[in-house]
Amino acid sequence: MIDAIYYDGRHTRRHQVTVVIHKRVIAMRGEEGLRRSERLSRFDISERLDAAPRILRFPDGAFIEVRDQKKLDKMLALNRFINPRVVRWQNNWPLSLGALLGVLVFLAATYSWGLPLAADALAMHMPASVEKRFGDASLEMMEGKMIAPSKLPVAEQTRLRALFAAMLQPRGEKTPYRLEFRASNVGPNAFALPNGVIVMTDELVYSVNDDEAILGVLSHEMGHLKYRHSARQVMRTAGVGLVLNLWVGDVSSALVVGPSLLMKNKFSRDFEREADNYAIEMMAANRRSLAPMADMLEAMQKFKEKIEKKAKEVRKIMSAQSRAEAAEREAEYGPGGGPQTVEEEADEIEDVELTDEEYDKIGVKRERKKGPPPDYFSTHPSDEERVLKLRAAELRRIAALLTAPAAPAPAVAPAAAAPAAALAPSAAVTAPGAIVIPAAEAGAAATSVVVPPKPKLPASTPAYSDDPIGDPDYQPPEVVSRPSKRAEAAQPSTELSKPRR
Amino acid sequence: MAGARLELQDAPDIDHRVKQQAEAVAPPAPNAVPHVESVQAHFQFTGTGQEYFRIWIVNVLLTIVTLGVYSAWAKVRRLRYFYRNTVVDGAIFDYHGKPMTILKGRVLAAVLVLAYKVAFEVNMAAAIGIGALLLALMPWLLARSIRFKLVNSSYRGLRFRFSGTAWQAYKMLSLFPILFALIAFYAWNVWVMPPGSAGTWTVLIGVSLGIATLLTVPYAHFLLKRFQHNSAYYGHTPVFFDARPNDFFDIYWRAIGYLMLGTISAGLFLRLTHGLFEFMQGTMFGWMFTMLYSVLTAYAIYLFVHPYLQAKIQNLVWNYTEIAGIRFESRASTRKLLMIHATNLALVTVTLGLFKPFAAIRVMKHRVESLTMLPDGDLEVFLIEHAGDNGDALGQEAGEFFDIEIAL
Repeated sequence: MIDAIYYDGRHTRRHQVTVVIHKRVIAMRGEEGLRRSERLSRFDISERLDAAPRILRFPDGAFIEVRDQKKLDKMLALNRFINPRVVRWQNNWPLSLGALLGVLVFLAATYSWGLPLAADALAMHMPASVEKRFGDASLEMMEGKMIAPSKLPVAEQTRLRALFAAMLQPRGEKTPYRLEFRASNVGPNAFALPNGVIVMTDELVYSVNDDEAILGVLSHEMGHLKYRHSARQVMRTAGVGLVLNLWVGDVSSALVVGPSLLMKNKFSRDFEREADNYAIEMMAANRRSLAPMADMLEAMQKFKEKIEKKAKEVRKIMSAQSRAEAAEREAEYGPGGGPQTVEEEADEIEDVELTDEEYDKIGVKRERKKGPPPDYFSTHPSDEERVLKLRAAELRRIAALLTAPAAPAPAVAPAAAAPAAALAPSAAVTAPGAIVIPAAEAGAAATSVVVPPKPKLPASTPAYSDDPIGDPDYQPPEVVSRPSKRAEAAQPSTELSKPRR
Repeated sequence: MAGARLELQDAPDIDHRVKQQAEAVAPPAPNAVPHVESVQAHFQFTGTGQEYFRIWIVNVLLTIVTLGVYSAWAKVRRLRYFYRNTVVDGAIFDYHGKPMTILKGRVLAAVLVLAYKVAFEVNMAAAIGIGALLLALMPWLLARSIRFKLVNSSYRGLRFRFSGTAWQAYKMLSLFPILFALIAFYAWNVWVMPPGSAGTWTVLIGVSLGIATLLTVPYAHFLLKRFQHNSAYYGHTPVFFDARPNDFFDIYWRAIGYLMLGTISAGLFLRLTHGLFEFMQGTMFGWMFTMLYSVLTAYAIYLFVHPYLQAKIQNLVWNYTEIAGIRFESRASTRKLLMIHATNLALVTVTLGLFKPFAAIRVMKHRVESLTMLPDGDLEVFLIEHAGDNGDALGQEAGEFFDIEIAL
């Protein structure tokens, strides 16, 4: 017998009742001759909660509220009442933690496979018009602010366009593109836009001064276009945002910024690697050396380090100034009078230069000496990693060439359609010293000479003219026919180098 | 008329009435029901984070596994948990929504949104048409949504009801289209404006938009709350709501004050940490730091305003709500809610979202337990006198083919 409260479902009056469950019938009895009984199976029995009473509802809406959970449990069990599966699940800690595990596994799987796959599938269905609009808009946005019309001589532009147009894409694909040159205030850089435009900055052309490095960079950007990285990036980022928003929900959308940014960077790094791989394939297919590109990346990295060093020096000078002020203070307060600030102490510690051995001796671990820093926060893989990969690919390429010296004539014989603006002779040969491995250098230099597209021009015509309009065979290479109605995608801002922020 | 009968009262008045009631309390009714002293009935919330966590995580998993279909059942489970753990005068609330009805509403909503998205891809005109249709349906859906919620809520076996009509909702929500139109106009202007002359226009339109928002949002909020409360019934007993628009304006003005205070403190914070900021920007993660910094600053401001509005609006709404002689007193505290929200935010962040169910319970506990019921006499007697049958409510419930939630 359980004490309970009965409501008739029409009035708010409480009736004190006692409840008995026997032979799968619930019977209750109250004052003033109140009696009711009904089969257990016809009751709607609420789930068991820790603090809230349990509700046994009659089919007509009247109900019994039971606060004595243990007694009721016992009686229900005796009458073979089984709680619904979900209720048993949520009332059980180990099972609930199992659910937690399931959710976490699901989230991890979504993160590593589901989202990228779904987003890529969506990106492949993105209409060409949308991609073109994105690309055009971002180019327009940058124009005048980050980039300005190129100051590169037209002849050089034409030459580089022709040089790249002569390159075969690795699997014979014909990814449409348009190569544009621009002066920029972001320094040496190149990026591919979703509308198929590859923008290369004048600064890059000037600072590299090696055609193979430039071709390598362009091949990398071509990889972005080929794999439609910008459309995929947009979709993946949107997907991550959506899932995280669903998960974190109402607490704060601001929270979502951090994690989604980390994931965005991961996607970006993956895409950069993919583009690097494509560049390696493309350069190999055209028997071009990757060493100049690796050199360029290395040089850029050194340059960045130099700038950082300079910044550090500036900071040191500034702290020296503050130390001078401290000295003044000391003069005022007497020696040791003024309290030494934390910054000063830190400066003194920083000024002590220790060798690696000394650091080892005192057991201080210096992270920057332990390889590249973690790249979670970066949109690009580390320069070290990229350079290593390019060098390794170059080694493999050369090894392949050396082991098969009798290879048939290079498959890179220029396509008939290739614009015939001739190559500067220097462009054809790998710059000496560009390949790091001296043993391989001779072979590489000998075999990796690219057969320049035979100029169709009459011999009297200069190798390239400053005036493409006067050039009878000149075809503007930037006019690219689009075989598919869908434009191939690209990154809105897949910069070649790590942007400094 | 409700307005005439229910004068606005300050806290001292309420105290005075409570004393009167205390003197006038009749001896307990002679029935054997365990009688709860009902001069003042404090609301209690008996839910716990640990228990709700288990319900929540199972809900999440099943919703994922069923591709969202289970979300309707999850909603019912969640609401039942919150309702049944809300206790006043020794009795609990209950929720009776049917998962299938909710599911139908969700499917309908998904179809509408999908239609909109597809139309957006295919044809701009069609998209605008569907968007306009959605907007036009909104007040009707809102009225349905409120009715569904009330009709499916009960206390001591008696359901609530709602008599608000779609027409009232249309009259009320006509303010929002005006606001939407202004925002759209603003966006259009910024988009179309040639770069040179954009500055002054942007500022001008921005300012007028801000003023329009300031003038419409508090009033719209008032209208919404009046719509929700003034057309509600408990059984056959009407609920009255007699706050005035000015009360809402007052709260919103102060909220703007808080926003400004937040800005000042944020500015001060930025100024004080200037040196550290410069240093951090120079390091490798400088840009990341910059971003985190701005997000934190923005959230610091929001963190001040949100609990303020939550507490004050709740207090306002319940202090001016009356069910035939039963008044309510709400004493939600901005300071406590601020602490709850701040710690919730930190813990949700640290646990990557797993603290969410605990956070929800903490907020709910404070909000529910700040409420007190002030009956005009013996609650037990009142409740028996004012009882009515549920016929109407059940009729209304049967009329609900679907339920669409509208977050307002």
